Amino acid sequence: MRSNEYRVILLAAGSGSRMRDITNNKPKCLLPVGNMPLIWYPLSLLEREGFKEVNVITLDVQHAEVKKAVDKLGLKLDVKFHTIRESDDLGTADALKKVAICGEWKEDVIVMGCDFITDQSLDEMIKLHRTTGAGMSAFFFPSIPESTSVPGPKSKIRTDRDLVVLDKHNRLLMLTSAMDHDENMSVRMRIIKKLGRIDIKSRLTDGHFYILDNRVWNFIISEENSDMSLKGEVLPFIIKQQFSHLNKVVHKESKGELKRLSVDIDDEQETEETHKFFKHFTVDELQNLTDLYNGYNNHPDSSYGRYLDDRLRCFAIIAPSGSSFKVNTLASYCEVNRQVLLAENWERFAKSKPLVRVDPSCGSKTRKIESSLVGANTQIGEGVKIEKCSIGSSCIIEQNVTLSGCIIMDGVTIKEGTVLTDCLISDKANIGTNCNLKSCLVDAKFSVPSITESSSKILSGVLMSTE
Amino acid sequence: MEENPVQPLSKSKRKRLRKKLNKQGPKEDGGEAQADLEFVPAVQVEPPAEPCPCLKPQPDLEREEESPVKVKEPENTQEIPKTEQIKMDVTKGAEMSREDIKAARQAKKAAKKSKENKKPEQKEEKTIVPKEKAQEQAQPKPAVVKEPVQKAPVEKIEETGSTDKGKVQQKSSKELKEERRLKQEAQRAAKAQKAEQAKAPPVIEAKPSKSVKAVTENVNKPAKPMLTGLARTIATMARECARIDCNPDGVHPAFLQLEARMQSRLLEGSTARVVGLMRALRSVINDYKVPENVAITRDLVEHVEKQVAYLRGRRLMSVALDHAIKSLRLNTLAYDVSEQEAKVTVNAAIDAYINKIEQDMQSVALNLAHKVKDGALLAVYSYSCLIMNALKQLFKTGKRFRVVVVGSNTHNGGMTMLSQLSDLGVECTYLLINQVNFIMPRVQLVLLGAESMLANCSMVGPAGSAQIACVANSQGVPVYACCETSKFSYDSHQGSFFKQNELEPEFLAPQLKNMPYMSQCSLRCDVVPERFISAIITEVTILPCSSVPDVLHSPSSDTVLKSRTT
Repeated sequence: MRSNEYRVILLAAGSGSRMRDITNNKPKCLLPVGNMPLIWYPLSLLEREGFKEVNVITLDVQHAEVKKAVDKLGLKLDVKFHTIRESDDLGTADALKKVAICGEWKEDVIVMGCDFITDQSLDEMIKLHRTTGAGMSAFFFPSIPESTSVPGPKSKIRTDRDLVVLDKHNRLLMLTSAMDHDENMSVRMRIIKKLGRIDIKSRLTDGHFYILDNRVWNFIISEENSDMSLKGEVLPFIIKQQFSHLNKVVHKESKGELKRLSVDIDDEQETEETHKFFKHFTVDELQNLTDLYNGYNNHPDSSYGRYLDDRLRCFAIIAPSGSSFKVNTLASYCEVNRQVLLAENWERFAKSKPLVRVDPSCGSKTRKIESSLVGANTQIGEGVKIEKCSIGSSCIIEQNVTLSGCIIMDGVTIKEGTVLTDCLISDKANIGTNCNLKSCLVDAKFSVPSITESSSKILSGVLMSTE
Repeated sequence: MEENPVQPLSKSKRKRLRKKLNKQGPKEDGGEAQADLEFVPAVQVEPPAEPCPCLKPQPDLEREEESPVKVKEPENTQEIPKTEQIKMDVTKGAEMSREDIKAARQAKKAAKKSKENKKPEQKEEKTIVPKEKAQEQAQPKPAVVKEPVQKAPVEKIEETGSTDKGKVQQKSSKELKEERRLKQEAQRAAKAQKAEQAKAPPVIEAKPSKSVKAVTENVNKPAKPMLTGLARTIATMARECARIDCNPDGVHPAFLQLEARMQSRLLEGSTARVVGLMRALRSVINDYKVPENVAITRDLVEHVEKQVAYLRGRRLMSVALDHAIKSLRLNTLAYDVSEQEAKVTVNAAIDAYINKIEQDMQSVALNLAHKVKDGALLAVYSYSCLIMNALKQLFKTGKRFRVVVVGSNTHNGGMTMLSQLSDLGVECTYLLINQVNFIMPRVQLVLLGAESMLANCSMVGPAGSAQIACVANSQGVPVYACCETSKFSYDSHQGSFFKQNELEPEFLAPQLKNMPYMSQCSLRCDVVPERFISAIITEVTILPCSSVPDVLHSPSSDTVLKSRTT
């Protein structure tokens, strides 16, 4: 039902650079979360909301694997794959241009990452986008707490926070990374003068869920846009354009005045780019007239009209805490796995799909499994205790193993008497007898020798990524 | 059943009347009506020397003409010390208004006591009590038997409240007949209500929370809270609204956006909505492709109708929007027209309509200019782009006036009006609708922007207009409705008010949702009765209210208008 209104692009070509340890051997979009591949969550969300078609961008080297996995999910969506070459090392904006070659779209476009899990209704977001008449709406939610425990060495993780500047109507005024600023962050005086009060938020995570107006979309895919990265360059540029002098609504009577407007000196270098950008915003006489006659005004205290008389407006949609996850770091990956194990959370994120705790193919020996997930064809020995774990398929867990708070991917073998606490075991790893691991990260296909005691380490065949 | 409300009403009335008469005994002629009027220009003006004729019973139009004269008159006689006079007037006015309020309250109470199964219009009529009372006081013999005039059924109901008051004792056979008929009517209404009830229980019943149940058990109250009167009707409306299947399938995104903006009240005012509709229509037309083997005329009309039906399903189609759609005359496209030609034609029609809107606005501004005197103090309520434009034009032509902008908590239109006026440089005052009584005596003219004019000469305006008009009327301030003739409607009061009124989204007090005996009834529009409106300022001319039907039926009026007989 939405297909006539929005096109969806799902970015699934991300390499997972912030969680190298577990994405070495597996595409990020196929990492298991609650025993479902990560990409299933956005896809099922779209399916639920009545989308018929989705464009997925993948890397050529991963394409076959991802396609196979997606086909296995049995979704009713028409998934169209677009591949980009890994060697090209394209930015997100470039990748979008690749998709755009396939045909001209008149609809608005939703761009979302494959690592986005939310329980919020797209309907609400879309409604917000519509009512505000936004050129771009971005989705934010409160970041997960930094104290989240992560397997592996306890290093000071550099979190690259976003600085989000909003006004009281959640209008998005600035979006930068905190890393780009040393000590000071400069905000244009013009913004403050216009709005009187602004909020700068550093505890919001960008969900990489953007609803783009068709005009903005056309700019992004056009030749004029030379920037590579959507998040890093293109969006900040677009957000900045809100304060361009070209962004004013031109009413019939004031057309003459506009030309006389002097251009700020600091703007001059941007003018060319700005002009190129606003070329896509053709004057909509009827829209202007509607605005002129409209009795609604959200800035009644200022001398500007509604939305400050701006044509291009960017808005932030802010979700409540705990409602959404962006699985792009190890911390968020572990956290979301933990969350999904709770039945009520599963219902929130997976909605239609019933929660199968222990796959029936696992046999029924005496064992103790509490609030965990166990995948298909996993063999579990006698006297095994499992608590708050998600265990993939085709694993072998021998007798008297105790697991708590672990994420165990597919095809893992855990020998007798091993105790694992808060560990993350990658695909096809092999853990010997009577090991005791705490907060460890075991690399794929790595064999941990018997009687290993270790905590907060990365156990890997390659000497890397410890620094 | 009907007699119950009558008895206490007449009692209170007589008591009050006696009081009034005692008080007025020593005073000279004139009566309240005059005092009412003197109250108007109390600030700069002292009351005229000669007693004023009793103005109240006169038709509204004449009275409206009278008051500006009165304003001028005392300017010549300035030597007389003012202050004491003013004080007296003010206190008198205050007393009276207090009494009025009291009376109204009593009447309300009485009406509540009696079991209500009348139609919801009743509630509305109650606001009118003071005026009727004033009429009675002006001719202080309430016992006169007046034959109830046969009127349209809508009017009938309002009549019953007032006519019964004075003549309970002397029941002529005619009256008895009348009463019997009323009873029957009431019974019929009750039956209808019951049937309705059986069909669908009121909204609140549907979701009683657990805590609610617990409470009701303890207190031993009836488990099902019954809604009565207006609240009930609104509950029914909401239910119906929810039941209508608004399938957004195949609806153009432009219409989805329009709907969303209207629904969340980000698009306010009928003119703005019309232009918004035209914009949406333009994108629909431009994106339209004729399916093969189908006649374009038919398919295009169906296609557009589908979009419009979506809005209608959400109760968002108003008279002005209907008129706008009709004005495009999609069904008059030639049968063999090509897609491109059709698009050009429709786009031209859209442009023409937009032009007409702009011209109409200018004409209204010119017409209004006759009525606004230099240095006048005007009151406006909420936002109306028509009035805004008119005032802008007036100000540009050099006329100076001050404006009292009345706003309300739920509509932010007042603020918009205020900011735009003060941007122009007009001297403004802003106050909320609950304070309007204080400022009204100083105001010389009240301007109301109309959403539409109904065939029974009432005005539909943003909720709160009726209140302003009522206050203005009680203090003798003329009220002008500004309305283009394209917003005149064949609908009569009842039909349109309840069919077309938008329900306010329940954002007013979401926390009240759990209250079992509460039903939130907030409507977007209300109806200002004819008698409160001195004149309508249209793009054609200034009309008395009663000529709305004449405009609708006049041969010169738009054929499009004519075609809307439904």
